[in-house]
Amino acid sequence: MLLRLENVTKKFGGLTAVDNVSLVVEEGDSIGIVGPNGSGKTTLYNLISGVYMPDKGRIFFEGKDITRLPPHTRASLGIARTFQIPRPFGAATVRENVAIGAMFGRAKVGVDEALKLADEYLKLVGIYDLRDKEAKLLTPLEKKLMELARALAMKPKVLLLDELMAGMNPKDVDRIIDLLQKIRREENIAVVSMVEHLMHAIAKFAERVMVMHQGKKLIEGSTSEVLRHPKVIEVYLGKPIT
Amino acid sequence: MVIYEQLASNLIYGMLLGGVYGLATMGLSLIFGVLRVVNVGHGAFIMLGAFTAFWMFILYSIPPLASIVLALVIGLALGFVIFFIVMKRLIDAPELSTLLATFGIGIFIEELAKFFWGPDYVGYSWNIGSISLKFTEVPLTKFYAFVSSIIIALVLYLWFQRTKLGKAIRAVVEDREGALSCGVNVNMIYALSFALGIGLTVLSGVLVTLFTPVGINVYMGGDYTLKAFVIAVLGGLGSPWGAFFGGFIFGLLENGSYTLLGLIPGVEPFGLTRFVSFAGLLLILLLKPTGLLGGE
Amino acid sequence: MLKFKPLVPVFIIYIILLLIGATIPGMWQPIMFVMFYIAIGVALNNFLGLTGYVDFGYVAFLAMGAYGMGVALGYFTYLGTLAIALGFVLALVFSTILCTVVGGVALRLRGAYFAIATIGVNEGLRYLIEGARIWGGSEGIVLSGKLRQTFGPEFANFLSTVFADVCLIVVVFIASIVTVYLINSKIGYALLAVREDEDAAKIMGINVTKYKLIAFFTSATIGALVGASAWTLKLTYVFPEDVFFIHYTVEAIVIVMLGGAGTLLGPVIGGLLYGYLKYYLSVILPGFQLLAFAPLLVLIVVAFPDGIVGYLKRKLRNTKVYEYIV
Repeated sequence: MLLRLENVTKKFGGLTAVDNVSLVVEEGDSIGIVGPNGSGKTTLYNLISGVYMPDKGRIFFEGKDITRLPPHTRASLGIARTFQIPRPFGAATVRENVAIGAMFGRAKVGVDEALKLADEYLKLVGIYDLRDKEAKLLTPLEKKLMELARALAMKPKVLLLDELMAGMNPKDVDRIIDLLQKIRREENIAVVSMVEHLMHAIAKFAERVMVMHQGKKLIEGSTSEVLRHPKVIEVYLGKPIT
Repeated sequence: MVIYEQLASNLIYGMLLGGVYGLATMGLSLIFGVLRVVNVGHGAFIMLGAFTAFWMFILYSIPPLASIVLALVIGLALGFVIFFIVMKRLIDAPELSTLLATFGIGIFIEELAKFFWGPDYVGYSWNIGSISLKFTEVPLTKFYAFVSSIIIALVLYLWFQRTKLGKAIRAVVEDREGALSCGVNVNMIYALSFALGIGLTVLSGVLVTLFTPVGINVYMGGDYTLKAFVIAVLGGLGSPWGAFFGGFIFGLLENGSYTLLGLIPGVEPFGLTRFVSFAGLLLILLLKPTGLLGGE
Repeated sequence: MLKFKPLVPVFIIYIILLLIGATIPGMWQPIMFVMFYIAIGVALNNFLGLTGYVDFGYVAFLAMGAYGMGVALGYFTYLGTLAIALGFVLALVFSTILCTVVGGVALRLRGAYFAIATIGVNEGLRYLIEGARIWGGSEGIVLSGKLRQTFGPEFANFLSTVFADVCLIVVVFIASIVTVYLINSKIGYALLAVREDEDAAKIMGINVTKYKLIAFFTSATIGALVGASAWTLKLTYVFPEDVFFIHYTVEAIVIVMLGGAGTLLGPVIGGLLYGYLKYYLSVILPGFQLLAFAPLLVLIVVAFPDGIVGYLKRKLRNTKVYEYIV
């Protein structure tokens, strides 16, 4: 068991953002988290990466209780994430951004090696020719790709993607999905992808899906089961996808 | 019995002063609460209020209580000017920028004051009698300062709760995006809040002189800046009400410390109390940075 | 060795300055005046420039250095030349203690809270020393008599002129080397991330508090060494109202921002310009430099936050010279 959330709850004042959610992620899994805006997905990610501490419940990583650990320690253990609205280190170049991931993530390599590794990840993701550009000058799509490369450079065991493919055209979505599958296979990274729309992407990519609604886990199961489930359709889709 | 009398008179003194401190800090908390800006130059504006009271009294024999209005107007005007020239351009800038900008403005005001008014210490004396309590005499000036603080704070409270503008400000504090979509002109709210914060601060400078009509000097602000921040953090940095009540607590503690330290031989209580303030600030930040009274 | 290329223009400037001072009669004092400002600029830059945090009480570290040397030479004069060495050691000890106390509490907080925490540092310490009458209280430490007694008038004079100046120069050179090392090392990248987006940095695995402390400690240590040499050794006295004077913090901030925060060359240019301007302005407008420099600071912050060197970097981005401007 790689990552385990046990009855995790998080409240903000009177609002319960995450309500008693449990989830298990195994090595090499591909999981989709689906739910409309406000269903608690982002808070869940923030709980896993350590931005927030849960009010109730616990989080385990490789058997260790990480509930009270700070974000940078969790990153060293192997948890990496991207942000829905990318957060590049604007004044640095694209290559430097990715190198930072390599320097401080799980691998913790030195500066020179990190810069070389960065080039490799940039090539993998397909933005190698942007390597010397100042990160703040990138287009939103390029920033997302850079975030992906940066997260990968951390050599994580679990990769949390936050609306990574939102706003991409279908061709790019397919390319990214192929890339993610390749990484899963080769590096045995578990990939958790969070979406609000793009059901097709989830259907293609994820083996298991968890649907969230108003902070609670509505349902969890294999992709085909979940996406046809009447409750899910009722709450979210409107009609079953084919 | 003498000890109790001393303690009681200290308590009263501390509470009266605390009210003034509290009001003096409300402007700071308001500006942080609405604009997320820390006005590091806070003390310089208190100094301006102090000098306003001084010059009005010395030159035109205007009683300080009347100078309050003038000080408020000066503060509002100054606040608007500073907002539109400087602060507006820093809305999306990193934190460091606003810290340095308010710092620079504060220093500039002090140096400008030194250029016009010189570095000397000035003061005035407005003797209007005092109230006799069982064990101590409370000068009416201090009493009026306290009452004014309370009244102004109350007026502010009502203004925030009842008026359209006041509610608009509260809306912006809670949810800037939401307020924007409700048609609130957020920029004007920022300008108004900043101006109001500065206005309150300059105004409280007058009240401070009612308490301490001597020792008015262009560099007097520095002390008050530190005290204001201790109070603001005590009450929760973004909460004007927290600041007001924090002021009371601080006033009591400061006075208590002054008395206690005065009992230790060979120690200079005035300066050492300042150190205690600073140490207290560190302590609060260590233990509960969001303030003892909620707030942030 | 590539890492140290950017030191070339910096060292060239230092050497030119020293040559001017040594060869042209009457220029040594103005040059050392400028050197002092370069020194505090380089010192503060290691923190303000690299982390983007501002320490309003920064002068306290110079004061700690000044007192360190002052205590050694004032109370341990009998140790002779060993007292001088002790002076530097104490300077480091005192500044490290202060660094640990303030940094330990305040660096865990976000930028604005940290800045607030530092507002009272220099005043607080000054009032502690004066109020509790530590190290002579408000009367300070006066060294000239004791130095002349222990070392003889000639050596004492040598100490407060040539030796003090050489110490300052050595500190400046070393400080620049330390800065360029920090900038190009892993620490520098961590601090870049902290500066740009502290929360994202945490998620990338950066222990932000640790790196902030490293930068803070570096600027504190250099500051202390400057205080020990340029103040105590040179002036032979330590008065609390001098060494805790907030104006030095303001000047250091202006120098860093004017020159270009976070760059190696920045504080050198900033210190050069500021020192030069102050020296000649003090003839026209004595005691009023801050009247001109405070609004300058505001202007820089609003319109040119990258400072002179930052601007140059932008312009020279794709040229060969870029490697030398870091």
